[in-house]
Amino acid sequence: MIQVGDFIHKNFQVTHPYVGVNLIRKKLISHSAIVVLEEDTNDYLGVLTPLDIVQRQHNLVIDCLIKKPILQYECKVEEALAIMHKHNTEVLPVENHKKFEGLVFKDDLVTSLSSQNTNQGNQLQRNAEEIKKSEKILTAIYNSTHSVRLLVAPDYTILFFNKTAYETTILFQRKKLKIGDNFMNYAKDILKTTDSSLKSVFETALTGEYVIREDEIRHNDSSLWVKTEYNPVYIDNKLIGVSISSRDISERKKNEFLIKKQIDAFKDIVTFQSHEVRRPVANIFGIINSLDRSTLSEKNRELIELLDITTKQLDDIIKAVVTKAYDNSKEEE
Amino acid sequence: MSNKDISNIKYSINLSFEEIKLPPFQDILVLGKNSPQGKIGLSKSFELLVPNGFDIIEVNDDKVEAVFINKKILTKISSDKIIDTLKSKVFQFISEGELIKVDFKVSISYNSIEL
Repeated sequence: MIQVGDFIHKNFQVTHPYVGVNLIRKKLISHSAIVVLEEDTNDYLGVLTPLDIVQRQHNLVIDCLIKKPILQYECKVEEALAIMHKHNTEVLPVENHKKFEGLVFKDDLVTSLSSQNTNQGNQLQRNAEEIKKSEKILTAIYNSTHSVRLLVAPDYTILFFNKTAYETTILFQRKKLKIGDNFMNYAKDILKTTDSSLKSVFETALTGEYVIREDEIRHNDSSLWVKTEYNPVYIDNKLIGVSISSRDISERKKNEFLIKKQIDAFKDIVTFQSHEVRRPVANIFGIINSLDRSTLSEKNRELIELLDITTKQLDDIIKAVVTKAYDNSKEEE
Repeated sequence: MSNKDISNIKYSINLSFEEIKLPPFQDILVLGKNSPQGKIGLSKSFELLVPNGFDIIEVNDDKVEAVFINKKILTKISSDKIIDTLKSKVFQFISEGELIKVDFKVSISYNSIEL
């Protein structure tokens, strides 16, 4: 903040109180102000201005002198101008630590403020341009997405929408979406949802909760999956509305169904292995154990032993597969 | 004007003289508003002529700015009574910028003093 101390004129004209006004009149007009100092001590007595001698038409300086407020060195320029305006004066004395320092003129302060305002004006213009640029980028981002994006006020007034939302309403309603429209008039076609469920979700979001919904929409013979996010929006901790983002997730849902189908098939295989495959293995074990190995030749006995070991290995492998599949299905749950 | 012209002039002079006292008033001076002489300048000049001789009383009046009163009078009668008297008897005759000298003689008397 600029202070008046930066604008002090120390090279001022001086006179004494008992000097005739006629003697200093010309000097006063050309310098706009003359400082009146005590004759003996040179102490500050006041500032004489042309207005003083108009308002008090006396012969001596001391009789014309109108008392004026004294500004402090640290006084802000705006405050000084207010004081000058109040006392209808173009110049005021300044003191620093109770010692007279000099004069400040209104013109200097006004010029300084004007220049400061011009600089601030330029800065504001630059800031406005930056904001405009940011807005353009943000709008471009919103418009480049395939999602429907809206900002809706608590009373369902539409505050913002993106290009996709606009095109969707034209497609379904042959109507142009406008800022200020009631969102409920478009909701059914934009979000493919019913009024009652939308209101419920919207009101939940207005309580500050983040809501996500995935809905299957059946239209004629086809179906569509839509994911909609309801996000409360705040400015300076004040809720201004709900940001709604909605997009088609049919492809993702299709993939999810495919994966689920594969998992189900895998589970069937596991069931098949655990029950169907283990049964013949158990039979083999039974047969091996029923054999009378005493009548077998040495060579055949070794082969039966080998068959027993291999069957056990096969059984262990099946057990491991079943256990792994069981664990995985548990994790999924 | 040449020397010849001067030698042809005849003069007729009326002359008188008397003693004066400074300042040129002794009792009260009423200072009208917007007078060329301001109250501070006048006060200073009276102070130089008669140190500690006059009191300046500022007056709230449309035409009068201040009244200078001899301190000798103030020992006899209060300034309020003087101002009230001046307001009713003098101020109405004052024009803007005028200096009015007022003779204000005070005599004090008592009746039927019983001791």
